[in-house]
Amino acid sequence: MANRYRFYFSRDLPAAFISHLDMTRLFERLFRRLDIKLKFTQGFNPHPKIVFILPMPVGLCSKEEIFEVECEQELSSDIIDSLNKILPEGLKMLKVELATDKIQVSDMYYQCFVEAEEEFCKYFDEFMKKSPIINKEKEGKVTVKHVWNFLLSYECKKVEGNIKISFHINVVNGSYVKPEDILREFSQEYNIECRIVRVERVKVGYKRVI
Amino acid sequence: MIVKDKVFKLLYDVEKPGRYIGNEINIVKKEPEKVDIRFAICFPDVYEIGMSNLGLKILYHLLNEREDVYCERAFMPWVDMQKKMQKEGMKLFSLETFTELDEFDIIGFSLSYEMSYTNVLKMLYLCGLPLESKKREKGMPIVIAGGPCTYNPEPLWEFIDVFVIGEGEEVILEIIDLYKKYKFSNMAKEEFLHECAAIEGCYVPLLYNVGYNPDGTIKSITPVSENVPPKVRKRIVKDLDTSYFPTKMITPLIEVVHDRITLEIFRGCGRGCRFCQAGVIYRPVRFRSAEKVVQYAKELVENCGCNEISLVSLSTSDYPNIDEIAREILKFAEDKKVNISLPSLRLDSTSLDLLKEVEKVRKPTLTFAPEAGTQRLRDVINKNIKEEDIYSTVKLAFERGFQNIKLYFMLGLPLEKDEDIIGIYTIAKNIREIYKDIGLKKKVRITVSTSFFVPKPHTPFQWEAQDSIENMQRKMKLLKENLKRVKDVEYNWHDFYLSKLEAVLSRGDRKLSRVIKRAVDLGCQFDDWGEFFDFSRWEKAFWLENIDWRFYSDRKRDFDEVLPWDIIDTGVTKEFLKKECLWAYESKTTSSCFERCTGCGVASFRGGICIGK
Ligand code: SF4
Repeated sequence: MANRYRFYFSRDLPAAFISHLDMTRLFERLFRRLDIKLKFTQGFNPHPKIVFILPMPVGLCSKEEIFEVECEQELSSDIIDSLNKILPEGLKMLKVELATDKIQVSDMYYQCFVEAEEEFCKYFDEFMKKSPIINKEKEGKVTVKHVWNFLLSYECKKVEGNIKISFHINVVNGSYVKPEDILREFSQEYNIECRIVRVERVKVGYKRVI
Repeated sequence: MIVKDKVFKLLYDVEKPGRYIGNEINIVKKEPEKVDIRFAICFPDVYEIGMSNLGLKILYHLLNEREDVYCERAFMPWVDMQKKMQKEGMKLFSLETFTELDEFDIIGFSLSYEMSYTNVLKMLYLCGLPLESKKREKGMPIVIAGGPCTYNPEPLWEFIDVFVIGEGEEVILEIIDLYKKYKFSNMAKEEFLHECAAIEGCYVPLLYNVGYNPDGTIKSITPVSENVPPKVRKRIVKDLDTSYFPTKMITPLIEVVHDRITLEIFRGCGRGCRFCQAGVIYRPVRFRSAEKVVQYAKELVENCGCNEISLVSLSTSDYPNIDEIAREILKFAEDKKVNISLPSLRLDSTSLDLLKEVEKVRKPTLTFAPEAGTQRLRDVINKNIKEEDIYSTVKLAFERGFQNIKLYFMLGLPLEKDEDIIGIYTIAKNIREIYKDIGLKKKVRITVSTSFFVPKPHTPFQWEAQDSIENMQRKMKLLKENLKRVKDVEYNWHDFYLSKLEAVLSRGDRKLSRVIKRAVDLGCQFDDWGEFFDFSRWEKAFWLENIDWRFYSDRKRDFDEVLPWDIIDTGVTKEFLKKECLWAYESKTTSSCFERCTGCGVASFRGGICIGK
């Protein structure tokens, strides 16, 4: 009987620069080192069923993320400690629970720190008032997103030499806008160079569904 | 701001930032202030390629075993990162502690292929160091280099202080001991280099003079003083079982080219293909015992967690009882969902069964390297593969569900005739027919790949001319036209100009160091990467230095010509190479070391299978 476990973890630099695919591979390896039997898919190229609830773009730090994994065995409570002993710097396991329900992301809080000119916030506020649109092209398909359809609130202010922009983003039907995209759109339209020095997901809200 | 923070700030908009973060599984962490010697292993290519190199990982862990040494790594940054570093005025840094490389005591380059020579220079530039050994004073890092390319060190002679010839496991420790003496005394750099030259396996190019004949060939290579050895003899590890092998091996966080654990099961090759440099320089064959292989495999799986373990060597089938070992490893690997791969397995019905059993994960592809299209030419190169064997294996393979067949050949081999090229077509055609006769429904894919013969130093063909570009083109077209007539065949050929440059650099002399520097100044880097390689820039570099590159690639040498690499003693005698070359002209084959010793000379090393023969 396979059990589905839900792991909570945080991610900071330098591990934040590991890509989504590499994160999956990394955890597969860590579980193998701990001799924990995961459930694998069938077929020619079996891979373990490790699913991250939210994809993490390269460079994103986060206070709390979740992945779920199916195990062929029951996990003991010291699994968190064992993982933390071998995790690379930047990753930290927080807790684990048996997943009996399903969860969905409802909303997210982000903080972006950028290096930019003095007047950044003034222009950014102006930009945000104009109900901006993000056009994204992927494999020939263009998706158009109205920022305010997803954004609940934001705040832009100066802190210790950098600009800090906080976003509260709503997830609508599984879709959302990325703060990096908003910033890129802004810097293109206003021709203002803004160099991201840190992007962080500070809090994620979940809905439990049966 | 400290280097680490500076680096991380650049990573938000470079390709694959994971290349630059270090922090891998089993990385070695030390306090730099607490060691005597800081050593930087540099690989002149991107992270994903460098971290696939087993030699680099062995040396990394070996050096870090020493308490007085901290060995760190650096790779060639991709062009986007280079630009950003330049803009910020940053130097090349190590991945362990993000220390700029000019702060290290020793910088060691791994030279795996000639096409990375420009990257070596580029990395020295990125370190902010003078390129030439002569201009680097005491207090600046000593630059050393090892790896297969050092068997002809001359093209890089100006830039490297000390070349390590052969297997580095022991030499490197001797160099470090000497370096310690040098660092903590008022010993001059010149004196250090002289003492280095006394270590067996160390070639210090500054301590040799090269004289030339009017026709541009070499007249003499002479040591500058009596206590510098007239020849540099390669170093080997006599016994693999007692030599160092790390089982807590550093394991990348991002996907690298060979994303698996590699375990070396033996060193050397006893087959003696006449074009193959590895077959000469890694002699003699030394097996690792079955117990050690199985034990290491177990520890590696436990410590690295990878989903694949690869048992590597130059010719896997020559390992005694390879199937027993593979099955032994399978016992614990299968349970942990770890796949075993067996590269360079000679394919026959027994190995097919083995493959089926152990390589469960891989898409079934069969690879053959007959190298030449006819038996006559295969005898010339001493490649012992019979056409009938290919056909019978292919038939078995088709019946067992293999659908992809890959065939590797070489064009432009010495004594090649057009009928040998047609022979390649014949093999492809016959394989396709076997498939048709069996009457399977699934589609088959036959891939034919050809590379161009590159005459390599220390091989029986070291004196041969390489085909001209025009000839290469003609031969490729001839084969292409013929292969078009066979269904389900795909044909790939290796870039002519890349093979040309490889031929030039691998048999180059000291004059090429200036050309390489010019090439770098003209913007050459990542020459091994199709999108960057630009032969016209190289042509310009040669033109500026007033050197005809054809002199190095397209010219046949006399047996008595002094060759730039004659300074290096591989243990295999020149007489043996010459005899092999003459036998090639007569299509006479030489038996493998496993059947009987043919007296290549390497027995003088008293290691491996030569003993008792
Ligand atoms: S000495 Fe003999 S057995 Fe040893 S490598 Fe040479 S030919 Fe082979």
